[in-house]
Amino acid sequence: MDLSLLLTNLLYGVTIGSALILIASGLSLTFGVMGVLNFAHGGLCMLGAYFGYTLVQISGNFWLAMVLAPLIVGGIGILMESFTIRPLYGLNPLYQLLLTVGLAMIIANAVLLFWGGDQLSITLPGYFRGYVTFFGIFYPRFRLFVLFFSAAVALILWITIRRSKWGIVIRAGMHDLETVNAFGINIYRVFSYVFALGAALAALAGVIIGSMRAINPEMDFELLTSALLVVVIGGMGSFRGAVVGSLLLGITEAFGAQFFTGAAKFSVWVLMVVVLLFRPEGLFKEN
Amino acid sequence: MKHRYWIWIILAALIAFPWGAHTFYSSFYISLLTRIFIYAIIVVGFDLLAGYTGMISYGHAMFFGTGAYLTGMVLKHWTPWFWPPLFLTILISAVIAYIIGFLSIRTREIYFVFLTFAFSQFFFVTAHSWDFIGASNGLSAVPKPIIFPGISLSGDNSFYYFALAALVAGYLLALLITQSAFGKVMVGVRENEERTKFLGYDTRKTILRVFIISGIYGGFAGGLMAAFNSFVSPNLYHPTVSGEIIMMALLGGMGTLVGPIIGSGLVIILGDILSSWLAESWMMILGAIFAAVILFSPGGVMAISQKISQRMKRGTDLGHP
Amino acid sequence: MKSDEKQVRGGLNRREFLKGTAAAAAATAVSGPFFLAQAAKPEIRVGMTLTYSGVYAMVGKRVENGAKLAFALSKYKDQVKFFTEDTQGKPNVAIEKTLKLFEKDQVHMLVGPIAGHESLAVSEMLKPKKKLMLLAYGANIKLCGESCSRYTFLCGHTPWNQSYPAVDWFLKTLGKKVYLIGADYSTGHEVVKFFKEPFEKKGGQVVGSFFSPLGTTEFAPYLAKIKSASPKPDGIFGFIGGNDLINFVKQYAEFGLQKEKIPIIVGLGGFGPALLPAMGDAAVGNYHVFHYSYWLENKENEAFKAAYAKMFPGELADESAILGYEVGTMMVKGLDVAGGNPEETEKIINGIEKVDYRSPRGHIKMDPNHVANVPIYLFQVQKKDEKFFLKTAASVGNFGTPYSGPDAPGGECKMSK
Repeated sequence: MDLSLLLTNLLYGVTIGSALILIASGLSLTFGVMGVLNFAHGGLCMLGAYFGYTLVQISGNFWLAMVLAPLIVGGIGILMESFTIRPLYGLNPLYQLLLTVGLAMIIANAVLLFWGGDQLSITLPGYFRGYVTFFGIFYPRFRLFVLFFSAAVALILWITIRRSKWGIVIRAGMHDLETVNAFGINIYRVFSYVFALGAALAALAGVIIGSMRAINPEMDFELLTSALLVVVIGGMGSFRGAVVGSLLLGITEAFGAQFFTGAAKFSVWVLMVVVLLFRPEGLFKEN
Repeated sequence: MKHRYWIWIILAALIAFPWGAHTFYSSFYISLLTRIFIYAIIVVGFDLLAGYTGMISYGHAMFFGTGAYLTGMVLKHWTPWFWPPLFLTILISAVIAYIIGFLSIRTREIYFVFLTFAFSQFFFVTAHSWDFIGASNGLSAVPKPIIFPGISLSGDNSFYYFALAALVAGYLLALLITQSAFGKVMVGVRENEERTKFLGYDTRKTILRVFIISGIYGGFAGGLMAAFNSFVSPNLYHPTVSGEIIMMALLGGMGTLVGPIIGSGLVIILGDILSSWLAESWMMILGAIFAAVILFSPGGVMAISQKISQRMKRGTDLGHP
Repeated sequence: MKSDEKQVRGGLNRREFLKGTAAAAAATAVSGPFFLAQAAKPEIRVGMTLTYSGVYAMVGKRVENGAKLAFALSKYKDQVKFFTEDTQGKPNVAIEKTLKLFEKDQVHMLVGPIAGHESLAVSEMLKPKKKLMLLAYGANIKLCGESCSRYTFLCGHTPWNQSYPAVDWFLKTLGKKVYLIGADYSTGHEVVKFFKEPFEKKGGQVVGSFFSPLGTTEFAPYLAKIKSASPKPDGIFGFIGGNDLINFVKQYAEFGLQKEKIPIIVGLGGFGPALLPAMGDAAVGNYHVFHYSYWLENKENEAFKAAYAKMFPGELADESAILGYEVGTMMVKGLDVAGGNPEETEKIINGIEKVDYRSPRGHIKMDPNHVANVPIYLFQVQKKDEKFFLKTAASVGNFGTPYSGPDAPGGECKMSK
């Protein structure tokens, strides 16, 4: 296999991975901070794609969609959290999981009702179409953008969590709810915001994915499974893990598709089983 | 206890039900009820694991599917007698449950959910690509099994009664298990595993045993499904099936054994009614009902009926607490 | 009416009886033809097990519309009653719903499911029950051959007649070198196989191939392979469906393959009016093999489109609609032979076996293995005035699907008479 093919696969893997980072980090965040495994996460991402589509259709402005869709879905996230998830805090976390499963069903059906079952796609502005060439590789312009954009978002998130006041509260909240409460910080409001952030990230990922691929009412399942895989392998609640896991998964998908088509789907689950059995915390512990 | 009378009444009604078919109501309802019975078997088995022992598996579809494929293949290619595939299914389900259970019991809660999910995905992907069992086309033209010489389950009625009998037997067996000393240990694991361990019980072995029993229930139900539909689809391994099983248990009331049976009936009947009336939004409604139950009455229908009967009791028994 | 008269006769005195009879006679005279006609015009119950949820949701709806249109234009329009069920694309649900339709709703015939694995399962189940099913989609190659059934008709297309007919055209129009692509499941493999063997036999060369798993969204690695293939292919042939195709086509253009004028030719349609908008300009210049296009110019198609637009305003009369329409048309023709009596399943079957007519697709007849013999075309996507449309690039003749001999794609069909 020649170098350019290798590089192309690598680059594509990293691109897929960078889109995955946006989805997976949202899931990891909600789990790490709130202990809630949100099975509706794929659905929120899908909502972002659909809202993005409609916003682009109405306004013709891609950037508007990139900003508004996450805001809308973030708002939906806050509503979801306040009315349905919050009452379940303190109870068996499996109940929360099952609740989100029910919510996922609602979202998927709602999407079908409002947007219909036909395939949709977000049209990109002209300057994103086409490709660039370097080192003998063809790399679509938009994917280059996705790469840099996701990296930037990831960096901002990382800094926020590590350095800012909010970040400290969040990380403290993960470990010791009572102490945080004792400091007078309304932990429940923090939870709402964290959930909204996770939803917004998912929606952002949705808009991006909706521009690269077709949007359909069944996409939430695949998105959720990818996010789950990343979070399990990378380590639940670990942002670093989400990044590494996403890149790993992206590269595996890119190379796997080339060489072992049938085994590709298979092997991903084997990997998950192996990780869960031997290192359930994932590659990185919570941070 | 009052509700024992209800059980006898309902059982009698179910036994008498097929007589009215064709004259008062269509025979379609017989197949509907048979389907409910089959699902109820696997959900009862699931309840032993999840409701009583506290280990919720998101992969129970793997037993359903495996039982179905095993029975289907044997009936189609080897012998139309019911007993060989039955024994084979029970045996292999137990073996698979043992292997997967052995690997999985070191995990708990969310990790257990993931692990069982991942394992069942494994089966799902395999079933879709293995040509020997039909791949994506599934296994079709499975013949109806013969129980005794001359009696085969080819009629709607005969399958109905067989499934009903199997359900009753399965329920009684489960009841026996939960009321035995072993059953108490199961609950102990669910309530406080550390303490149960401290008391000297090998909780891992307990969980493994329940997992195997639960797997056998699932495999058996799968086998019935294969014979009933004359067809096995690889979609039987899809996580939505596992999700359905959890939903049925939860809606009916986990940890009650009767709840799963009610839950199965509820979900299947609701699904049938809703999908005919509101073909486009029934999933949403089902999801909403599911979410509402979790939020307001996680004990399911059984909890609701208990509350009602308590309130009624308070009304009639003046002076009794 | 008769029973009323008996009652009157049974319990009244002479005068009242005469009065009653007179009144009854008058009533019969007025409404007689109506009642008599009702007695001779039984209710025709048609069941439909289609997909109304998920990705194929629109397909299901349009097949239903097409079938309804066919009946609405026929003499049975007041007798027919439709019962629809959603199979969700799952064979076990398809079986359950089929049983429900036949047992509970007592339908006389069925418009069968959309996916190939669903239709096979349902067909096998209906064989012993001797219940009739017509398939708009659901063309499982086995149903054309070894699993053929007297009670199942394939009215649309099959994987074989969507790829084999393209071979000669490709060699003549594009060249001798092809890159084969397929979705990694039965239909994808079948379409590729039915093209590859005759293609190579006639001197063509396959420069490379890949099969992508269902639901692949990133085709970049595969496209890289095509780009680096040597010798360069003259065209890319194969089958990838729905969503995946949209992704493939868009990324194919991004990759510059569209600029290099290596067209994609998809078997089993693909560039229909439903998917074209999502693909955008990337679709232009590519071809697909199919038996119908919205833009086919013949008077039957114009009539069909007009009637469809009238009955379903604002709806798209695409290939799903025409397939539903064809199924409905054949059911009507079968009923005609059975004298309008929906209970006469065997006579209806005989009628459908003998269909031979001109439809918006072209000349249609039914082959002995119950597979429709349909005209096959090569259509090319073009753009004019910001609108996409399909130009008929070639009409390659009528094809059914072979069902005997060692080369039969689905095995040998031994139809029970």
